[in-house]
Amino acid sequence: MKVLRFTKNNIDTFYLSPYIEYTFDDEKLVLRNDLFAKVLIAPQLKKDPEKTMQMLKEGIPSADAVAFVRDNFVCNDPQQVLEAFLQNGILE
Amino acid sequence: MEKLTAVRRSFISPFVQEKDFDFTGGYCFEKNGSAFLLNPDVGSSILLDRDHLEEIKNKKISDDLQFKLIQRGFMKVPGSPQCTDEESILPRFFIIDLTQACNFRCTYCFRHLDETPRTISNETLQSIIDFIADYCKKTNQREIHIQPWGGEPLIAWKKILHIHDDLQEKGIKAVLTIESNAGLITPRVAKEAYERDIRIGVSIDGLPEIHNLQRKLANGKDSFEKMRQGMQNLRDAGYGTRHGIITVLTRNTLPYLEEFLEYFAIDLKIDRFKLNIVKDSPVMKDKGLCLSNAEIIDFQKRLLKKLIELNKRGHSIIELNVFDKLQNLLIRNKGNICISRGCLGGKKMIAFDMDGRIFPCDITDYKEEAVGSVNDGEELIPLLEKAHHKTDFFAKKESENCASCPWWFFCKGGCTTAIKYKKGKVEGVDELECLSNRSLYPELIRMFLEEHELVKILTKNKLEIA
Repeated sequence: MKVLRFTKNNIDTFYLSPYIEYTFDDEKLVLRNDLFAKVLIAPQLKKDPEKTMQMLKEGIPSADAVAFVRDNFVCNDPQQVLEAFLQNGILE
Repeated sequence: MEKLTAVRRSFISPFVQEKDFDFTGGYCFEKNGSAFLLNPDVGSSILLDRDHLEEIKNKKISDDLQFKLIQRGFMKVPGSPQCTDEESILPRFFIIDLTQACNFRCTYCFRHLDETPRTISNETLQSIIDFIADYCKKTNQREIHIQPWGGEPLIAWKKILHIHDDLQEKGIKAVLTIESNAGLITPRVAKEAYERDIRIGVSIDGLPEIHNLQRKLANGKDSFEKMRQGMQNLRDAGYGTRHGIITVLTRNTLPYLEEFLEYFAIDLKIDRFKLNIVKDSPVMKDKGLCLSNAEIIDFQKRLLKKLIELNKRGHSIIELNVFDKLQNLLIRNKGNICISRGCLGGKKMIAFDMDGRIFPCDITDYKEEAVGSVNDGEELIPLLEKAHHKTDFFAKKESENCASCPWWFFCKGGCTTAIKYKKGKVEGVDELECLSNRSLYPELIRMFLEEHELVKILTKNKLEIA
């Protein structure tokens, strides 16, 4: 796991929080934030799940985050999904 | 030049940036243009460059940094999630005291061994297995950890196999972990263990001469060769060098720390080990084995220095307390049920004695600490919930220094069982763990602020500061 040191180069990038454990239960992506004791079931994934998680670990520029959600998850409202990720501490 | 300067440590007090935007406060460690912030209440942390640290110090935090601080538990805004440090009661690690018998007579043994040692009966063991299986089904746990314990647990080898095989038949994957003196690891035992993926840790106390001094056979003879043969049998059975190693550090072994770490890495080709400082107990025969405070502080520095040196010379070797504590600092580890979030005895771990009594930890020599029995007909979680309100074992452990301790979240007063063994009652804190934390954590922070590449080396690539 990469432990990030935040600088001006990555402070506006969204990353998967280090406090997340995730599992794929019956093809559902279940994300648990251990710091906030929050559990979120993500919408169905469009692409290879591990690849999507890897992209989140590597970081998504905040300006591209809605497009990332639209491209990777089956959902009508990607903005709403992104907000759920942020409010539940999934992304930081 | 910067490398010669010390890590600057300070406490950044809580403040309100704007209406309702609260910075919760935290310890700050600075060096080489990097800062490590630690929230001692919830164990969260964040690494920042100097510019972003200045934003916090100047109480002018940008939106981007504010968001990161919220997600790491350093800021609160209306509607932001609340941090939690509560651990639910849901045991997943079970210790079963199988036998008091042991083929060794180690000088620092803390067990209260009788003249005529007992081994658990098949009937009691079956009651314990059935109790665990019933609990797992009711709590929907498909994988658990079991540590057969002793004495020397391998004396009851057939019972160990039965634990594994019976739980498997009941649809539960039991990962068995055994700490052994290796004297009874024959090629057959090693093969049977390997086939079941049983994890075995071998106790070695360093160089052969010291090992023989501290870990005599029951007949008084040297044990090193017996241990080494057992370890070789494990390696030949398929474990390679992937078996565990547990070493007890005493005043006898401390002067040879660097020598035996060389011996581990180069001669024995060990790539990971756990080095435990000997714990004081009234049963210990030789009180002179315990380390002084100054020796413990010195030991932590020497251990880290030697590990780094060996790795830089190309010998990949890690120490598991260092590994766990680095994870505590950097990702709020929860893997270690003893040293990541304080003692989780009675929450994530329980122990059974040879009569089926249930204990919050491997404290089975003190019958007054039993919280129930497999024969009571009570279910485990309600039984533990009741015990949390009744017994001293679960009382908050703290000293006057705990309130201002950066390492509080990880320590929480240390090992309850160690306090009980030392004092005969649960009172105060585990001073050994307290001192170890106060000496090791600052060294680890200094290390990764100076040379962040070392995190990758000392965690075997599990963590990497980017």
